[in-house]
Formats: sequence, structure tokens, C-alpha cells
Amino acid sequence: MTDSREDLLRCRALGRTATPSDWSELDARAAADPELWHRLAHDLRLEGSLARAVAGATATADAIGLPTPAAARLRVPASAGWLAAGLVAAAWCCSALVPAGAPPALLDAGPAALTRAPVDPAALRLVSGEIVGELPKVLIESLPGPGGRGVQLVYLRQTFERVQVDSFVQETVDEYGAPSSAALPMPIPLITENL
Amino acid sequence: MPAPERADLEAVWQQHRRFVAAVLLAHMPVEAELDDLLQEVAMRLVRHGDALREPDRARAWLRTVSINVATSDLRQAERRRRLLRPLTDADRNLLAVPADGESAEGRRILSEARALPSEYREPLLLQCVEGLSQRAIAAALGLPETTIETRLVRARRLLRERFEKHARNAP
Repeated sequence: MTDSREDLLRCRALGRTATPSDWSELDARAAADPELWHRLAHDLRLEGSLARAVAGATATADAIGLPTPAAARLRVPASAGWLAAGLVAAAWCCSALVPAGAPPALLDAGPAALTRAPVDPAALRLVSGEIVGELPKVLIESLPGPGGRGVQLVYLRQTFERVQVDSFVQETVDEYGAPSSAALPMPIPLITENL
Repeated sequence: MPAPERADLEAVWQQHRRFVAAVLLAHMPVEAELDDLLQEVAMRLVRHGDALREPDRARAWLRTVSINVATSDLRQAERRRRLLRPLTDADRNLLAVPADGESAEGRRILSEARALPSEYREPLLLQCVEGLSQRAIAAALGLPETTIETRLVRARRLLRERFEKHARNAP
């Protein structure tokens, strides 16, 4: 257990606010208790670790610019992004409804492949056609980069896409276990809620 | 005093966004995304920046807005939890970035810092993220400089004790 005067001197040393008389006092205390330098070294180690850990926050702040007045008026509330993500997830659960003519490899791959496999942008275009907007990126994780260089960010991009669909089919399995598909009536409107 | 121009707001944001990040880190829920909250504060600065007619009050105004944004995110976090399934271990493995021992220690100490009582963690994070002097922290929080020094001493002592306790209990 350390006394409060020593805590104060160590805090001043860490915060670079120690005066010459503070350092003299630290010297005098260390002459009687050499472990004090060891405790101060430990403080410096923790302070350094904390400084590197918050470097991600600093980098994140530096990357955020001020939105234009128009963008600030149009910005979708953060909660709508999650609602949209929920709707996308719900749509995926209903993936029996697929646009006719969509590339089977992409549609059959399932959510695991969509998240794990490298996405071929050209293949994606065949389905999506047109990206009409994007919600703010959702930061999943930020960590100091290897060796303290830069910052590693893992984030989720959420795009609004428009696609022209002429018909819907429902993929099923027939009585022999073979994949089968049946035409469905066009379910319009698919979603009536406003985001 | 006239309402600030766009260039004035840009200057205010560039000068104070790390300060905003530190205040948000000190007050936001653990699972909140700093990126989202920073964007929200930036948006409010654009929308309501005409209230910022005194540049000297910029820090105090941004701190109040940041605390409000961080607090309201707590309610949004509740809604998100109801809407979305929680991350599974498989998701976490997918997203995990390999961490060396040093960054693991950094994350643990940051987590301990964010768990300190709010009167201690805010000055500590302001000093670490923004590199503010005790005098500047005192001005931003509207407290005497001696109070800030006392809080920093206690914050560091608590942080050290919690970190050492965790290290002793680690397998």
C-alpha cells in the first residue's frame, strides 16, 4: 500500500506536471525505498498501454468530418440503420423468395458464404443492379494496428439497392428430394414501412 | 455576436473532435459504437451550431451534447438488443482480429478505465485521449484544478489496483 503523498508525486510525474521540488522529493523517498522506481516504472507501463489503447478512439475521431447541412438534414437516424439491418435479416430468412434469373451460386451459398467468402463485386452487380444509398457505417471493432502502426477497423457497410424483378419463384424440394421451383404471384408491396 | 459560419463550425469540430471522443468514451455504454456517436455529435453541431455564438463556450457546449448523445444511446442500445440476435461465438471468431499480448493488455486497461466511477474516468480519459492539461480539464468540467488533480490521483490508484487484482486472479 502506498501513501497518498507518494501517489500524488507519481501522478505528477506521469502527467508531466512534477516540479523540480517534486522530483527532489521523489529522489529522497526512493533513497529510502528503492522499490518506488519500480512502482513508477509500472505506472509508466500502464499509462503507455492505456495511451495505445485509446489511439483507436483518436484515429476514429480524426476520421469523422463535419457533415454538410444537407446531409445533416437527410441523415437517417442510427436506429433506422438497425431496423434496416433487421429487415435485411428477415428478408434473408424468407430467402425462399428469390428473383428469377439470379445467379444460383450466389443465392445458394447461404449467409455463411456471403460473410466468409470473398465477394465478387461483378457477381453482386448481377443481382443488385444499382446501389441507391448507404447508411452510416457501423464500427464493429477498432484496435491498434500491428506494431502500433495505424488502426485496424472492422465495420459493417449497409447499402440500399434497387433491383428490377420480373417474376418470383419459390425454391422447394420435390417428393424425390430433388430441388424444384414453382412460380409465385408477385407479392407487391413487399415492404410498406418507411425506414 | 453573429451566428458562426460553416468554416467556423469546421474549425470548432477539427479542434475539439478528440475531446468529444474522450467525453463519449467516458459516458457511452460499453457496447456503443464511438464512430456512430461522433457522427451524431457532428450532425448536431451542424444543425444547432448557430447556438454556438461564443467560441470560448465550444468545449462546454460539445461536452453537454456528447453526454446527451451518449446517454440517449443507452435507450437505442436496448432497442437494438430487442431487434437483433446477439452475436454468437462463430460471429466473434469471424470478426476477431488477432491480438498480441500488448494490445490485449491495452484493451483490458481501457476496459478497467471505462469502468471507473464517472468523476474519475472522464478526467483520466480526457488526459489520455486529448492530452489536456489539468488546467484545461478543470476549465472544461467547470471544477477547480486541485479537484482535477485529486481525481486523477485517485483514478490512477484505482486503475492500478484493479489491474493488479485482475492480474493476480488471471489463470
